[in-house]
Amino acid sequence: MISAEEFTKQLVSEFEDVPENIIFPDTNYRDIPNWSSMYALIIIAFIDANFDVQLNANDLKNTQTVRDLYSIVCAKMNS
Amino acid sequence: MGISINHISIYLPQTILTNAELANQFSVTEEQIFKNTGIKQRYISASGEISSDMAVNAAEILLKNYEIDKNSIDFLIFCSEGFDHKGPSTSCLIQHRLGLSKNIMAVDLPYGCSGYVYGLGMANAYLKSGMCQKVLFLTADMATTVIHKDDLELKSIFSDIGTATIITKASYNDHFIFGTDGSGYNNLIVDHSASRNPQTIEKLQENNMPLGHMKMQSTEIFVFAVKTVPVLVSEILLKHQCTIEDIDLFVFHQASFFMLDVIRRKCKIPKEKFFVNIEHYGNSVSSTIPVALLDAQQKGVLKKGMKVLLAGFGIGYSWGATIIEY
Repeated sequence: MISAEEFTKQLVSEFEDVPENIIFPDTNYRDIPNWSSMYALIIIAFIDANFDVQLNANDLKNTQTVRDLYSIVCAKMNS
Repeated sequence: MGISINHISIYLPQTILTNAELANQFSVTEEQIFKNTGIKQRYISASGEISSDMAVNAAEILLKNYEIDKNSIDFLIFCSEGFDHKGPSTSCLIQHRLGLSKNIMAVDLPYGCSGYVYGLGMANAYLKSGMCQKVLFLTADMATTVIHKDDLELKSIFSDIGTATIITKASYNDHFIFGTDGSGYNNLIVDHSASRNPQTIEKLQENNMPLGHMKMQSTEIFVFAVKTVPVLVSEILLKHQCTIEDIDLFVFHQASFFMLDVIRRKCKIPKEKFFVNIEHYGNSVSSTIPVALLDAQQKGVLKKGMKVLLAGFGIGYSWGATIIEY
Protein backbone atom coordinates (compact mmCIF):
# COMPACT_ATOMS: atom_id res chain seq x y z
CA MET A 1 0.00 0.00 0.00
CA ILE A 2 1.21 3.50 -0.78
CA SER A 3 1.91 6.00 2.00
CA ALA A 4 -0.76 8.33 3.43
CA GLU A 5 1.07 11.24 1.81
CA GLU A 6 0.99 9.62 -1.64
CA PHE A 7 -2.66 8.63 -1.13
CA THR A 8 -3.46 12.27 -0.36
CA LYS A 9 -1.56 13.49 -3.41
CA GLN A 10 -3.38 11.07 -5.72
CA LEU A 11 -6.77 11.91 -4.22
CA VAL A 12 -6.25 15.66 -4.58
CA SER A 13 -5.31 15.19 -8.24
CA GLU A 14 -8.86 13.85 -8.77
CA PHE A 15 -10.34 17.22 -7.81
CA GLU A 16 -10.28 19.94 -10.39
CA ASP A 17 -9.06 23.36 -9.29
CA VAL A 18 -7.99 22.21 -5.82
CA PRO A 19 -4.32 23.07 -5.22
CA GLU A 20 -2.19 20.24 -3.88
CA ASN A 21 -0.60 22.43 -1.22
CA ILE A 22 -3.77 22.99 0.80
CA ILE A 23 -4.71 19.34 1.44
CA PHE A 24 -2.59 17.13 3.68
CA PRO A 25 -3.25 13.76 5.33
CA ASP A 26 -4.62 15.44 8.45
CA THR A 27 -6.80 17.95 6.62
CA ASN A 28 -10.54 17.59 7.07
CA TYR A 29 -11.44 16.79 3.48
CA ARG A 30 -14.82 18.48 3.86
CA ASP A 31 -12.88 21.76 4.16
CA ILE A 32 -11.97 21.52 0.50
CA PRO A 33 -13.13 24.80 -1.10
CA ASN A 34 -16.67 24.50 -2.54
CA TRP A 35 -17.10 21.03 -1.00
CA SER A 36 -20.29 19.33 -2.18
CA SER A 37 -21.73 15.81 -2.21
CA MET A 38 -20.24 15.46 -5.68
CA TYR A 39 -16.78 15.38 -4.09
CA ALA A 40 -17.93 12.44 -1.97
CA LEU A 41 -18.75 10.59 -5.20
CA ILE A 42 -15.29 11.38 -6.55
CA ILE A 43 -13.71 9.99 -3.37
CA ILE A 44 -15.78 6.79 -3.56
CA ALA A 45 -14.95 6.33 -7.24
CA PHE A 46 -11.23 7.07 -6.70
CA ILE A 47 -10.95 4.48 -3.92
CA ASP A 48 -12.97 1.89 -5.83
CA ALA A 49 -10.98 2.31 -9.04
CA ASN A 50 -7.52 2.46 -7.48
CA PHE A 51 -7.74 0.16 -4.47
CA ASP A 52 -10.73 -2.04 -5.33
CA VAL A 53 -12.29 -1.03 -2.02
CA GLN A 54 -15.99 -0.19 -1.93
CA LEU A 55 -16.93 2.54 0.52
CA ASN A 56 -20.51 3.37 1.35
CA ALA A 57 -22.10 6.55 2.65
CA ASN A 58 -21.72 5.36 6.28
CA ASP A 59 -17.99 4.80 5.84
CA LEU A 60 -17.66 8.40 4.75
CA LYS A 61 -19.79 9.65 7.64
CA ASN A 62 -17.33 8.08 10.06
CA THR A 63 -14.34 9.90 8.60
CA GLN A 64 -13.07 13.44 8.92
CA THR A 65 -9.56 13.61 7.53
CA VAL A 66 -7.87 12.19 4.47
CA ARG A 67 -5.89 9.96 6.84
CA ASP A 68 -9.17 8.52 8.15
CA LEU A 69 -10.04 7.57 4.58
CA TYR A 70 -6.60 6.08 4.11
CA SER A 71 -6.99 4.01 7.29
CA ILE A 72 -10.36 2.63 6.18
CA VAL A 73 -8.90 1.66 2.81
CA CYS A 74 -5.93 -0.06 4.49
CA ALA A 75 -8.24 -1.87 6.93
CA LYS A 76 -10.59 -3.05 4.18
CA MET A 77 -7.69 -4.17 2.00
CA ASN A 78 -6.31 -6.26 4.84
CA SER A 79 -9.63 -7.74 5.93
CA MET B 1 -14.71 -1.54 -43.97
CA GLY B 2 -16.46 0.88 -41.67
CA ILE B 3 -19.69 2.81 -41.37
CA SER B 4 -20.63 6.24 -42.55
CA ILE B 5 -23.23 8.25 -40.67
CA ASN B 6 -24.83 10.04 -43.61
CA HIS B 7 -27.64 11.96 -41.97
CA ILE B 8 -29.17 12.48 -38.53
CA SER B 9 -32.52 14.03 -37.64
CA ILE B 10 -34.08 14.48 -34.25
CA TYR B 11 -37.60 14.95 -32.94
CA LEU B 12 -38.14 17.04 -29.83
CA PRO B 13 -41.50 16.86 -27.99
CA GLN B 14 -43.23 20.21 -27.52
CA THR B 15 -43.20 20.20 -23.71
CA ILE B 16 -40.06 21.48 -22.01
CA LEU B 17 -39.52 21.00 -18.28
CA THR B 18 -37.34 23.80 -16.91
CA ASN B 19 -35.42 24.03 -13.65
CA ALA B 20 -37.79 26.80 -12.59
CA GLU B 21 -40.74 24.42 -12.86
CA LEU B 22 -38.88 21.67 -10.98
CA ALA B 23 -37.83 24.14 -8.28
CA ASN B 24 -41.48 25.10 -7.89
CA GLN B 25 -42.50 21.47 -7.41
CA PHE B 26 -39.72 20.62 -4.94
CA SER B 27 -38.12 22.60 -2.15
CA VAL B 28 -34.91 23.36 -4.04
CA THR B 29 -33.56 26.24 -6.09
CA GLU B 30 -32.97 26.31 -9.83
CA GLU B 31 -29.27 26.79 -9.09
CA GLN B 32 -29.10 23.63 -6.97
CA ILE B 33 -30.68 21.57 -9.74
CA PHE B 34 -28.26 22.98 -12.30
CA LYS B 35 -25.26 22.50 -10.00
CA ASN B 36 -26.10 18.82 -9.45
CA THR B 37 -26.94 17.92 -13.05
CA GLY B 38 -25.60 20.57 -15.43
CA ILE B 39 -29.05 20.51 -17.04
CA LYS B 40 -31.29 23.52 -17.63
CA GLN B 41 -34.17 21.87 -19.45
CA ARG B 42 -35.44 18.50 -20.61
CA TYR B 43 -38.11 17.34 -23.08
CA ILE B 44 -41.28 15.54 -21.99
CA SER B 45 -43.35 13.40 -24.37
CA ALA B 46 -47.00 14.38 -24.60
CA SER B 47 -49.70 12.27 -23.00
CA GLY B 48 -50.22 9.30 -25.30
CA GLU B 49 -47.07 10.04 -27.30
CA ILE B 50 -44.92 6.92 -27.06
CA SER B 51 -41.37 6.03 -28.10
CA SER B 52 -42.27 4.75 -31.57
CA ASP B 53 -44.23 7.96 -32.27
CA MET B 54 -41.10 10.02 -31.55
CA ALA B 55 -38.94 7.67 -33.62
CA VAL B 56 -41.36 7.82 -36.56
CA ASN B 57 -41.47 11.62 -36.33
CA ALA B 58 -37.66 11.78 -36.40
CA ALA B 59 -37.57 9.36 -39.36
CA GLU B 60 -40.15 11.36 -41.30
CA ILE B 61 -38.12 14.54 -40.81
CA LEU B 62 -35.00 12.73 -42.03
CA LEU B 63 -36.63 11.08 -45.06
CA LYS B 64 -38.19 14.38 -46.13
CA ASN B 65 -35.26 16.71 -45.46
CA TYR B 66 -32.70 14.55 -47.22
CA GLU B 67 -35.08 13.24 -49.93
CA ILE B 68 -34.17 9.65 -49.18
CA ASP B 69 -35.70 6.97 -51.38
CA LYS B 70 -37.61 4.78 -48.91
CA ASN B 71 -37.00 1.75 -51.13
CA SER B 72 -33.24 2.13 -50.71
CA ILE B 73 -33.47 1.26 -46.99
CA ASP B 74 -33.01 -2.45 -46.40
CA PHE B 75 -32.40 -2.65 -42.66
CA LEU B 76 -34.39 -0.94 -39.90
CA ILE B 77 -33.20 -0.91 -36.29
CA PHE B 78 -35.34 0.56 -33.53
CA CYS B 79 -33.51 1.03 -30.25
CA SER B 80 -35.68 1.69 -27.21
CA GLU B 81 -36.70 0.36 -23.84
CA GLY B 82 -40.31 1.38 -24.38
CA PHE B 83 -41.94 -0.75 -27.06
CA ASP B 84 -45.52 -0.65 -28.34
CA HIS B 85 -46.32 -4.27 -27.46
CA LYS B 86 -44.56 -7.37 -26.17
CA GLY B 87 -45.27 -8.69 -29.65
CA PRO B 88 -44.95 -7.98 -32.50
CA SER B 89 -41.64 -6.13 -32.71
CA THR B 90 -42.24 -2.40 -32.81
CA SER B 91 -39.83 -2.18 -35.76
CA CYS B 92 -42.44 -4.11 -37.81
CA LEU B 93 -45.06 -1.48 -37.01
CA ILE B 94 -42.58 1.29 -37.84
CA GLN B 95 -41.80 -0.29 -41.24
CA HIS B 96 -45.51 -0.06 -42.04
CA ARG B 97 -46.02 3.45 -40.61
CA LEU B 98 -43.08 4.83 -42.59
CA GLY B 99 -44.10 3.01 -45.77
CA LEU B 100 -40.74 1.32 -46.09
CA SER B 101 -40.14 -1.57 -48.46
CA LYS B 102 -41.45 -4.96 -47.34
CA ASN B 103 -38.13 -6.51 -48.41
CA ILE B 104 -36.23 -5.36 -45.34
CA MET B 105 -34.95 -6.70 -42.06
CA ALA B 106 -36.50 -4.93 -39.09
CA VAL B 107 -35.32 -5.48 -35.54
CA ASP B 108 -35.92 -4.04 -32.09
CA LEU B 109 -32.86 -3.33 -30.00
CA PRO B 110 -33.93 -3.18 -26.34
CA TYR B 111 -31.04 -1.14 -25.01
CA GLY B 112 -30.64 2.07 -23.04
CA CYS B 113 -27.64 4.36 -22.70
CA SER B 114 -25.25 2.10 -24.65
CA GLY B 115 -27.89 1.52 -27.36
CA TYR B 116 -26.60 3.91 -29.99
CA VAL B 117 -23.16 2.29 -30.09
CA TYR B 118 -24.80 -1.15 -30.08
CA GLY B 119 -26.96 -0.13 -33.05
CA LEU B 120 -23.94 1.19 -34.94
CA GLY B 121 -22.17 -2.09 -34.23
CA MET B 122 -25.10 -4.09 -35.60
CA ALA B 123 -25.29 -1.86 -38.66
CA ASN B 124 -21.56 -2.31 -39.18
CA ALA B 125 -21.80 -6.11 -38.98
CA TYR B 126 -24.74 -6.38 -41.38
CA LEU B 127 -23.25 -3.88 -43.85
CA LYS B 128 -19.91 -5.65 -43.70
CA SER B 129 -21.53 -9.04 -44.33
CA GLY B 130 -23.33 -7.69 -47.37
CA MET B 131 -26.73 -8.48 -45.90
CA CYS B 132 -27.80 -4.85 -46.33
CA GLN B 133 -26.71 -1.64 -48.02
CA LYS B 134 -28.50 1.17 -46.19
CA VAL B 135 -29.60 1.18 -42.55
CA LEU B 136 -32.25 3.36 -40.95
CA PHE B 137 -31.40 3.42 -37.25
CA LEU B 138 -34.01 4.92 -34.91
CA THR B 139 -33.72 5.63 -31.19
CA ALA B 140 -36.41 6.89 -28.83
CA ASP B 141 -37.37 6.49 -25.22
CA MET B 142 -39.93 7.89 -22.85
CA ALA B 143 -38.02 7.58 -19.61
CA THR B 144 -40.02 10.38 -18.04
CA THR B 145 -43.11 8.14 -17.97
CA VAL B 146 -41.46 5.65 -15.60
CA ILE B 147 -40.23 8.23 -13.07
CA HIS B 148 -42.13 8.65 -9.82
CA LYS B 149 -43.72 12.06 -9.47
CA ASP B 150 -41.76 12.73 -6.24
CA ASP B 151 -38.36 11.66 -7.60
CA LEU B 152 -36.54 14.96 -8.10
CA GLU B 153 -33.20 13.35 -8.96
CA LEU B 154 -34.49 11.33 -11.93
CA LYS B 155 -36.90 14.04 -13.02
CA SER B 156 -33.95 16.45 -13.19
CA ILE B 157 -31.96 14.18 -15.48
CA PHE B 158 -34.13 12.36 -18.00
CA SER B 159 -35.59 13.62 -21.25
CA ASP B 160 -37.73 12.13 -24.08
CA ILE B 161 -36.30 12.53 -27.61
CA GLY B 162 -36.47 10.55 -30.87
CA THR B 163 -33.67 10.32 -33.43
CA ALA B 164 -33.12 8.87 -36.88
CA THR B 165 -29.78 8.05 -38.51
CA ILE B 166 -28.94 6.80 -41.99
CA ILE B 167 -25.89 4.54 -42.08
CA THR B 168 -24.03 3.18 -45.10
CA LYS B 169 -20.65 1.55 -45.79
CA ALA B 170 -17.43 3.54 -45.64
CA SER B 171 -13.99 2.69 -46.91
CA TYR B 172 -11.98 3.14 -43.69
CA ASN B 173 -11.66 0.43 -41.06
CA ASP B 174 -13.46 0.81 -37.77
CA HIS B 175 -13.71 -1.40 -34.74
CA PHE B 176 -16.04 -1.73 -31.81
CA ILE B 177 -15.64 -2.73 -28.20
CA PHE B 178 -18.59 -3.87 -26.13
CA GLY B 179 -18.94 -4.85 -22.50
CA THR B 180 -21.59 -6.27 -20.23
CA ASP B 181 -21.83 -6.74 -16.48
CA GLY B 182 -25.30 -7.84 -15.44
CA SER B 183 -24.30 -7.87 -11.76
CA GLY B 184 -25.22 -4.18 -11.75
CA TYR B 185 -28.72 -4.66 -13.18
CA ASN B 186 -30.47 -3.63 -10.00
CA ASN B 187 -28.66 -0.29 -9.70
CA LEU B 188 -30.62 1.18 -12.61
CA ILE B 189 -33.82 -0.64 -13.36
CA VAL B 190 -37.38 -0.08 -14.48
CA ASP B 191 -39.09 -2.26 -11.91
CA HIS B 192 -42.61 -3.67 -12.27
CA SER B 193 -42.35 -3.32 -16.04
CA ALA B 194 -42.35 -6.91 -17.34
CA SER B 195 -42.39 -10.58 -16.34
CA ARG B 196 -40.00 -10.44 -13.36
CA ASN B 197 -41.70 -8.68 -10.46
CA PRO B 198 -44.69 -7.67 -12.59
CA GLN B 199 -47.09 -4.83 -12.05
CA THR B 200 -49.74 -5.35 -9.34
CA ILE B 201 -53.03 -3.67 -8.55
CA GLU B 202 -51.57 -2.56 -5.21
CA LYS B 203 -48.56 -0.92 -6.93
CA LEU B 204 -50.79 0.78 -9.46
CA GLN B 205 -53.00 2.14 -6.71
CA GLU B 206 -49.89 3.31 -4.83
CA ASN B 207 -48.10 5.18 -7.60
CA ASN B 208 -50.18 5.02 -10.80
CA MET B 209 -47.18 4.05 -12.96
CA PRO B 210 -48.54 1.41 -15.36
CA LEU B 211 -45.35 1.23 -17.45
CA GLY B 212 -43.02 0.58 -14.51
CA HIS B 213 -40.97 2.47 -11.96
CA MET B 214 -37.40 3.55 -12.68
CA LYS B 215 -35.05 3.27 -9.72
CA MET B 216 -31.41 4.34 -9.67
CA GLN B 217 -28.61 3.92 -7.14
CA SER B 218 -26.65 7.02 -8.12
CA THR B 219 -23.43 6.27 -6.28
CA GLU B 220 -23.12 2.80 -7.80
CA ILE B 221 -23.89 4.09 -11.29
CA PHE B 222 -21.35 6.87 -10.88
CA VAL B 223 -18.65 4.48 -9.69
CA PHE B 224 -19.42 2.05 -12.53
CA ALA B 225 -19.13 4.79 -15.16
CA VAL B 226 -16.03 6.42 -13.73
CA LYS B 227 -14.28 3.04 -13.46
CA THR B 228 -15.40 1.59 -16.78
CA VAL B 229 -15.37 4.39 -19.32
CA PRO B 230 -11.69 5.44 -19.02
CA VAL B 231 -10.66 1.80 -19.60
CA LEU B 232 -13.09 1.59 -22.52
CA VAL B 233 -11.58 4.73 -24.06
CA SER B 234 -8.03 3.39 -23.70
CA GLU B 235 -9.01 0.06 -25.25
CA ILE B 236 -10.80 1.52 -28.25
CA LEU B 237 -7.88 3.89 -28.91
CA LEU B 238 -5.49 0.94 -28.73
CA LYS B 239 -7.68 -1.12 -31.06
CA HIS B 240 -7.53 1.67 -33.64
CA GLN B 241 -3.82 2.19 -32.94
CA CYS B 242 -4.29 5.84 -32.18
CA THR B 243 -4.07 8.27 -29.26
CA ILE B 244 -6.24 11.03 -27.82
CA GLU B 245 -4.32 13.50 -30.00
CA ASP B 246 -5.51 11.67 -33.14
CA ILE B 247 -9.19 12.09 -32.24
CA ASP B 248 -10.94 15.27 -33.38
CA LEU B 249 -13.99 15.00 -31.15
CA PHE B 250 -15.20 12.84 -28.26
CA VAL B 251 -18.95 12.34 -28.07
CA PHE B 252 -20.09 10.29 -25.09
CA HIS B 253 -23.51 9.34 -23.79
CA GLN B 254 -24.73 12.48 -22.01
CA ALA B 255 -25.39 10.94 -18.60
CA SER B 256 -24.86 13.92 -16.33
CA PHE B 257 -22.55 16.89 -16.66
CA PHE B 258 -20.69 16.08 -13.48
CA MET B 259 -20.10 12.44 -14.41
CA LEU B 260 -18.90 13.43 -17.88
CA ASP B 261 -16.51 15.97 -16.43
CA VAL B 262 -14.94 13.44 -14.07
CA ILE B 263 -14.61 10.92 -16.91
CA ARG B 264 -13.08 13.55 -19.20
CA ARG B 265 -10.47 14.47 -16.62
CA LYS B 266 -9.64 10.82 -15.89
CA CYS B 267 -9.18 10.20 -19.62
CA LYS B 268 -7.13 13.41 -19.94
CA ILE B 269 -9.27 14.62 -22.86
CA PRO B 270 -8.93 18.36 -23.55
CA LYS B 271 -12.16 20.29 -22.91
CA GLU B 272 -12.28 21.67 -26.44
CA LYS B 273 -12.39 18.14 -27.90
CA PHE B 274 -15.09 16.88 -25.54
CA PHE B 275 -18.60 17.69 -26.68
CA VAL B 276 -21.22 18.19 -23.98
CA ASN B 277 -24.75 19.44 -24.68
CA ILE B 278 -26.71 17.95 -21.79
CA GLU B 279 -27.51 21.47 -20.58
CA HIS B 280 -30.19 21.97 -23.25
CA TYR B 281 -31.37 18.40 -23.90
CA GLY B 282 -31.02 16.37 -20.68
CA ASN B 283 -30.27 12.64 -20.68
CA SER B 284 -32.39 11.14 -23.47
CA VAL B 285 -31.03 7.58 -22.99
CA SER B 286 -30.02 6.03 -26.36
CA SER B 287 -30.73 9.31 -28.17
CA THR B 288 -28.04 11.42 -26.48
CA ILE B 289 -25.21 10.56 -28.89
CA PRO B 290 -27.10 11.27 -32.16
CA VAL B 291 -28.55 14.43 -30.59
CA ALA B 292 -25.01 15.51 -29.66
CA LEU B 293 -23.59 14.61 -33.10
CA LEU B 294 -26.23 16.69 -34.87
CA ASP B 295 -25.84 19.56 -32.41
CA ALA B 296 -22.05 19.51 -32.80
CA GLN B 297 -22.44 19.50 -36.58
CA GLN B 298 -24.87 22.42 -36.52
CA LYS B 299 -22.56 24.38 -34.22
CA GLY B 300 -19.65 23.79 -36.62
CA VAL B 301 -17.70 21.78 -34.02
CA LEU B 302 -18.11 18.55 -35.98
CA LYS B 303 -17.26 18.46 -39.66
CA LYS B 304 -17.32 15.74 -42.28
CA GLY B 305 -14.18 13.63 -42.26
CA MET B 306 -13.42 14.18 -38.59
CA LYS B 307 -12.38 11.26 -36.44
CA VAL B 308 -14.91 10.88 -33.62
CA LEU B 309 -14.77 8.59 -30.60
CA LEU B 310 -18.24 7.53 -29.47
CA ALA B 311 -18.90 5.86 -26.11
CA GLY B 312 -22.17 4.68 -24.61
CA PHE B 313 -22.55 3.28 -21.10
CA GLY B 314 -25.20 2.71 -18.48
CA ILE B 315 -28.18 0.52 -17.65
CA GLY B 316 -27.32 -3.17 -17.75
CA TYR B 317 -24.52 -2.54 -16.98
CA SER B 318 -23.71 -2.28 -20.63
CA TRP B 319 -21.13 -0.28 -22.53
CA GLY B 320 -19.60 0.15 -25.96
CA ALA B 321 -17.30 2.38 -27.97
CA THR B 322 -16.13 2.94 -31.50
CA ILE B 323 -14.16 5.46 -33.54
CA ILE B 324 -15.80 6.63 -36.74
CA GLU B 325 -14.88 8.94 -39.55
CA TYR B 326 -17.86 11.29 -39.62
